[in-house]
Amino acid sequence: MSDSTTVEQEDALETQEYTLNLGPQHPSTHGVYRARLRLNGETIVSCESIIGYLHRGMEKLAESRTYAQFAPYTSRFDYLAGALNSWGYALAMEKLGGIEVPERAEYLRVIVGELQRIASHLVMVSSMVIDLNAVTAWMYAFTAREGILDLLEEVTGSRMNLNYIVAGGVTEDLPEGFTARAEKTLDELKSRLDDFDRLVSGNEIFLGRTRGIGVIGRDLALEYGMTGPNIRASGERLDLRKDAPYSVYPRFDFEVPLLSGGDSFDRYYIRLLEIHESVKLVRQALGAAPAGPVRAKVPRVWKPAPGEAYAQCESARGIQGYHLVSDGSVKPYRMHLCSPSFVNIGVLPVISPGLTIQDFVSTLASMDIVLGEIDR
Amino acid sequence: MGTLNDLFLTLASAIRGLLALWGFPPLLAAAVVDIADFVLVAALVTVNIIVIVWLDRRVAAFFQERLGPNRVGPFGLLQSVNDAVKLLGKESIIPVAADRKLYKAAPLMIFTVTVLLYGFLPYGKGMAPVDPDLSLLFFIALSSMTTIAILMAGWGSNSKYSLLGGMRTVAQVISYEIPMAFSMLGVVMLSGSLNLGAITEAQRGVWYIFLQPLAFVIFLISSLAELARSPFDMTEAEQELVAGYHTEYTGMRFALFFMAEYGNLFGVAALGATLFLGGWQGPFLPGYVWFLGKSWLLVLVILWLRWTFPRARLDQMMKFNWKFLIPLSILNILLTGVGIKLYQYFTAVGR
Amino acid sequence: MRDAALIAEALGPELGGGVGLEADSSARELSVAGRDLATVLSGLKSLGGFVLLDIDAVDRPEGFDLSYRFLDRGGEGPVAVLTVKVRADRGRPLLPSVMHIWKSADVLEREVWDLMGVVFEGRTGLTRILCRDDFVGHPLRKDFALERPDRFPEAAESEGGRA
Repeated sequence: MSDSTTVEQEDALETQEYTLNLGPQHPSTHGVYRARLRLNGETIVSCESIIGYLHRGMEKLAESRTYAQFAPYTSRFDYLAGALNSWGYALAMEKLGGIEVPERAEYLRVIVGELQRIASHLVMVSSMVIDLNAVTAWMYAFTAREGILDLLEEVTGSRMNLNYIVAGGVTEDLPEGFTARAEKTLDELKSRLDDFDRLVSGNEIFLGRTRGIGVIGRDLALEYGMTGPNIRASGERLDLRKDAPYSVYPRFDFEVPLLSGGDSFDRYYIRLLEIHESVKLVRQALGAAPAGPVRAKVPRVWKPAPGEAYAQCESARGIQGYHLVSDGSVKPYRMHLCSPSFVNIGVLPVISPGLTIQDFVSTLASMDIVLGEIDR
Repeated sequence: MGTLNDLFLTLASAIRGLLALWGFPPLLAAAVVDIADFVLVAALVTVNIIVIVWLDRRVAAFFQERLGPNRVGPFGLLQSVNDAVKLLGKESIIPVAADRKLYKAAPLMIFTVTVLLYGFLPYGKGMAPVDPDLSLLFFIALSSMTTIAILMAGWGSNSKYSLLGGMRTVAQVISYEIPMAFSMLGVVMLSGSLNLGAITEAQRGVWYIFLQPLAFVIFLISSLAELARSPFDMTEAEQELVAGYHTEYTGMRFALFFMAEYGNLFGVAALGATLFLGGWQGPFLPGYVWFLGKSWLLVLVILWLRWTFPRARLDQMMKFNWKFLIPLSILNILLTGVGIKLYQYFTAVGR
Repeated sequence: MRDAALIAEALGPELGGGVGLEADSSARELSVAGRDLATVLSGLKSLGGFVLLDIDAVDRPEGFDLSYRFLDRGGEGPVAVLTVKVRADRGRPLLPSVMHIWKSADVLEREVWDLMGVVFEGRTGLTRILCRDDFVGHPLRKDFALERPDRFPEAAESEGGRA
């Protein structure tokens, strides 16, 4: 008798899963990303990534622009690390047309590229902490980024979409007295980063929100083709600057940080470490840049021989590759961007089940995606 | 100085005297004075909200190396007035699927509770507008009513985000009332009364923060959770739930929630000042100046905490409450009881 | 990185006879026929040391040229890209899906389907990923007319159903 009433009570307590859309308009989806979450209470049962809200048809656009005309578009892919995008495109063009880059230009590319990497990583750590509501820490990191953006503005004239690294070299040389100002800014950056680090990295609440959350094991990361700091936080050492060095990277003394936890905290902390390494690179490049021209001569009307070229570059988010196909005319026959965030995001539906919404926000922030690059 | 201290009491008895002179029956005279009290309290609530909102934004700005509002009025003091006027002018949008009665009643209820709470605070000696013997108990009981209002808002909005926010808040607020009440029990045991005025009087010799430091810390932490302030503000976590239980509110209704939050902030800080910092006790300055000063000091501490820490996760917060804070507060009661008995024994022996 | 020809040789015994595999060492490419794609790619998986980075499609008059780009981390020396090239017929662009072998191929194949119209068989969930779900046509194809109104069905209805 009592057994049957207990069974009835259990049936009466039936719970219901519900669907919640996180995005595309949401304060913490880092762009127009939509996650359709199936939830049981606050726990995610399944997650579906829906992208394409920022699809601008860039690859189709490239077919109706000349190679040089398309170069400014490339910094709009991953708009937080525009210079590194343009670098990849320039490498592809140079491979297609056999263009040689002068030595000084290579050094300048490293300087601007690494400064851009610092700025991009600063955005990542600050937007991650603001997703966890540490508003003051976000402000500290953004103020630090202002210094870097001021440096970039001095060199290129623009804070975000630089249009600086082009096929054949770079567009301008460094202004007078840049080295001294850059050293000063980098010193200030270090002190602000220390403030940020002390405020955030040891904080109990922050650790509770990120340690052991969203763990991506090394094997899972490799299976899903992840690259960049995300996989380096999972213990796999993969960095094009060391594994397939391009430009003048072999001449510099720098480390590639490696962490093994694979959780949100490691993905956050590795970017702080990478900022320090990039600072080292910028300092060395500033000291060692030889004199000389900064741009190789590329004809205004440039018709590369028919063929194709694929070039890669280590962007702030992973390995970014450009595939250019030429049919002998001034416009590319096909331009394709191999985007690291597009692949990185494929792992989210796999690690989401079991996380709460709050954990999901923390994990998504730690993956550091940029929708411009994903959607093109 | 004495006159300044008793300013409001003198005024009140003067009004009563005047009304008696004009032939008002004493009950009516008392009613008029009560209405004047209410008007004063309401004014205090409003002024406090304006000041604290301004303080919040300026303090946050200074922490973040920026300036904050400094254009509207001297030092930006009129910024909150500006915001209130703007919110007043907004269109009243009620979601089609919302439960209209609940939706409209929730902000009214929550703000009413806030104003009621201010009635129990002892602003000075004999200056608590409403002064029953169990005023502390009334205070705690009333402040729990905000839970119902929040649930009404969350459910009535008929939106998943709001419902999630409402449920989170209820869980959080109900859970943290326990350590809050337990931490106050130590103070009650020491003073022997549940009346806020009597508790303040009993701190003539030494403030209770020195006798009950553990209780003070527990009180501070649990009041943060009661107020749903950072680091416990996942109920209105913009980054996750857009705005929690008040996602679907706009205009003046939203303003009421906002004002209730800041009003409660002062209310709880004032309670803390009364229980632990000696309320209106203090030399030279009039009692109410001390009272307000100490309350604002606690408000500043709470704001400081908000702008420094990230947000905790809901289940971690719950674990912290049930497995750590409540046992700690019970320990505090135990220690207080033992301490009182020892004190009585030694003073008896000494005599 | 490993030499493309050597990779092809290493794959040979696994693939068995009847699988045509051409290697171009200088360009670091392997060319394979469509029907053998899954076999070759799963052979690469067993060889180990590869990471699938990208699937790219080019619309040629002869058909769709797909490039599967792998990062070759095995062997000695710097890592490099190994490209597996396969052609899909113009009239019936069909290829076997490899998402069960290479997990990152899931989203990559959806993108190629969405923008180029190459169908990947043997998988579920081949839906549009970048364009709207009800989009008509495959934008990156060369014959996709940019001013065609009927790619939005509701617009076509309002214009009297002009095809």
